[in-house]
Amino acid sequence: MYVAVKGGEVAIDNAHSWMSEIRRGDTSIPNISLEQISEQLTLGVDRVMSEGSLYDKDLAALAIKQSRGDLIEAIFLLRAYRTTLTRFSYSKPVNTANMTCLRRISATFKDIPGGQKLGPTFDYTHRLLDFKLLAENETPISPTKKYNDKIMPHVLSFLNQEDLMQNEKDNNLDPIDITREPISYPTSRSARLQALSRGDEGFLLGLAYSTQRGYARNHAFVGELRIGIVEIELDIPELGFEINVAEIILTECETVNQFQGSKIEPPQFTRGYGLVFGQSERKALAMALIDRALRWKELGEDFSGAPAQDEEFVISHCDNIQATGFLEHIKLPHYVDFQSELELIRKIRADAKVNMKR
Amino acid sequence: MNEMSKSDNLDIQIYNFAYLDENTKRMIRRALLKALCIPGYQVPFSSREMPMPYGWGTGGIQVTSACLIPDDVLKVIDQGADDTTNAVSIRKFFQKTANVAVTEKTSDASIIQTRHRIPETKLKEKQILVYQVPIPEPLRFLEPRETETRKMHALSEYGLMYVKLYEDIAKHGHIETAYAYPVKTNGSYVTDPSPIPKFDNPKMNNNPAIQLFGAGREQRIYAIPPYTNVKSLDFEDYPFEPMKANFKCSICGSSDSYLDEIIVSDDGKRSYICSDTDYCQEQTRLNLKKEDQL
Amino acid sequence: MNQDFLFKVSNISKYYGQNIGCKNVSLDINSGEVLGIVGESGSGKSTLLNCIYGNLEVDEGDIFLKDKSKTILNFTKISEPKLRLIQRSDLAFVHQNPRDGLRMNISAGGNIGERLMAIGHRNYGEIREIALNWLEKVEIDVSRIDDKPSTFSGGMQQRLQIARNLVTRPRLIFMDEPTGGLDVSVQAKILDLLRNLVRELGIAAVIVTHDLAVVRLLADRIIVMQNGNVIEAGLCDQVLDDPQHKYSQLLVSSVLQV
Repeated sequence: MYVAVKGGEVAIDNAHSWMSEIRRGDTSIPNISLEQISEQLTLGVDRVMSEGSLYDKDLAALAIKQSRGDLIEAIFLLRAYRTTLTRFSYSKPVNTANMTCLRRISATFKDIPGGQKLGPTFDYTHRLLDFKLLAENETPISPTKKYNDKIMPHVLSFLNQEDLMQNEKDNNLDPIDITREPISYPTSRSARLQALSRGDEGFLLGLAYSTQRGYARNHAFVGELRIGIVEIELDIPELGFEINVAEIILTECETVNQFQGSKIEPPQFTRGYGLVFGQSERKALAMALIDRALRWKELGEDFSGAPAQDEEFVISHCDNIQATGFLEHIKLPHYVDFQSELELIRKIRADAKVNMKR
Repeated sequence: MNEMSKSDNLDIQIYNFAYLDENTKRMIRRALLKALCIPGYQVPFSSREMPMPYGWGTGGIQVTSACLIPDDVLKVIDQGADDTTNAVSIRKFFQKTANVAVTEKTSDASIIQTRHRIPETKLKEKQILVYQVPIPEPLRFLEPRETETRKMHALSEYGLMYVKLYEDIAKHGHIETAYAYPVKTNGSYVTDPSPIPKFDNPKMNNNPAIQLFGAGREQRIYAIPPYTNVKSLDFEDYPFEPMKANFKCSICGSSDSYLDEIIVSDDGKRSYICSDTDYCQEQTRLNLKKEDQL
Repeated sequence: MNQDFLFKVSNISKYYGQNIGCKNVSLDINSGEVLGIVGESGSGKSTLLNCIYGNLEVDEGDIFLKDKSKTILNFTKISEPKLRLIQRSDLAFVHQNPRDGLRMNISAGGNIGERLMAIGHRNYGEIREIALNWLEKVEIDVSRIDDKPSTFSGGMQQRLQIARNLVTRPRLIFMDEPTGGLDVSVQAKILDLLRNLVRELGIAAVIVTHDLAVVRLLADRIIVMQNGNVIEAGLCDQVLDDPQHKYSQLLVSSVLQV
């Protein structure tokens, strides 16, 4: 006599228990600490904060540890935690012009007020595996110099002075918060930028790359890339003044794009904009290229059919938590629906056989 | 930030009743009320990230969370069974965050959250059935653009939907849809019933219970109030037919319920049992009672 | 207003940035008549057609439509839902390229049946019957009813497009260069078909074309356009045989007399 399958609850508990064990791994090897992760795997932590949409290095490090290094799983943990936090205020818009820059470069001019500052970058390293790192006790020291606190104005403001740079119009509306309102198409630029900032780095990288290869035709120049510390300020009505509640690291990228001139505007340079938490250059660059590609309509350009220009396509698919959830859900039992497909195909084949006999 | 309080915070997660904060629940309830007033219409809502992945029932969970009160009795099923992995996981979640009573008996539950099936046992007034929905838009695979499908619903431009059914009949002699079979709700909006087998569609019609649908990833909620007319799309000369395997359950003997096919031996031998485990147990109990009386 | 019209176009203009699409155009379209709009490429004929049909927004002027219940509506001011409803049930549009007016991945029968299903036909057998009927009317082999238009020749696709548009008996059909992409022998067949159908069904038609032979065969009245303006209008034979405006004379004289 056949017995119905039971035992799902026990199976899940055992699976989770085994996972905890494997996550810890060989107990003769030291447990990895959160400090080690946030200090030495900083770029991973930055990505998790940026796509998790929550700036907290310790929590991001914990998420990375808990997820065994799977960054999308870590981002998921952070997003779920974020849901539980009360939203009690919004800060003032961050003034990135006042950023204390660790890194600040421009590809459009050889020299700029404030100077080109390479900062801690992989850019000109030779990608050779450094076996000295196996030794695990290196303590490299770099030369120091007094911080040049000359003001570093945004490079694009100079193009603005000549009226060569298209002006961003301030429509005086509050930016939309896509975690509080559902996105509906067509969206606003503020909704798009928010979605892109939280969007998956890999997906945006591919799309940005596609725009450089002819899928939407806009050559982007990096007007400025700056990474550094900014202040977060909160307006406290009871006090009557603002207070600085935090300092965070941001990466900001502004691209300058050629503009052919269209039915409604004389030629001007136009802007692509990228902004992310932490040091995430690749992401900020990609975001800027895609931001620009999605602006084709407001700039009176043609829709060339490129995926990066298709707002609904880009914004619906750039969130990796939505994407991985739906992708991985196909592992869930679907046997009831599959059963109905089986019945249907059997019926159709049976009918076809009967018809052939006639 | 105070290190001590942060680690406290990390250790003792104190959740609001049923996990979501009150403002979020209020937002969802407003969407639900709107949905009930416009049967079958997809109401956008601001879906929250939940501790389960999108695509694993977050929409249904948010709807259930917004509806739950401490006195509720909750049943959670997936593929008709209480003991499948995802049903277990979701039930545990609500036990932990709401501490509500749970049950496997359909007739004892006040809220039933389900994935891909409607219970065989007839529902009663005041019961709430919450469906987990992956793709709320019935026209999605004919027209990928949200901007266009919204217009199609607004203008009742459903010609394309019927063209698809026509094409099926022309090609195969049957309508080719076995599950997620589209319905017309209240004579108005074309609605996706969620991926229930078409066998279950007739249960939606004129049902005494409240039927709520949540799609978390797609951010849509829709609803069918009690005793609403729900008709599966078809042609007059090719009427809708619910369909199931032509066998009896090998446990309880029922020939009226939807059956799962199980492969029982290496040479491919099959057995069929009720997909709805509670119904099967109830039938078995009734059978034993009958035998005792004889 | 002369009350016998279907459409009354009143002084409309449409601009593309600084360029003129059409300017100060007024005309009537009466029920049962065929109006031809002729001119060279860039004269504004397609713009005018699309403005009247409601595909393009006019910048100046009004368009009035007399609907089935004889109510006069300001077509340029009605809501989008109402516009789309009228377009679906009352009007028809045959595109120059049949691929723009057909669903290429749906069978011929499905293409013809779609408008029927959109207005509520729910009997598969009847829909199929009507589709077979129309395939015969437009001289497409009925055995092709389940084939997709991508397997049809250009002429067949165009005839299918015509069937798809006429199946719900619209009161007015718009045609934008209906024989544009086809070779001469195929063109002749289609023109013949159109002429018979239009007379048989008593529908009105507006045909845009640069080919005067087309209007000679089909149109009752024509208007001649140049650079967005209407420069001459009148009975088709009159205008073609005795053009008054210099440009019309040029147009007519440059056509090979066959």
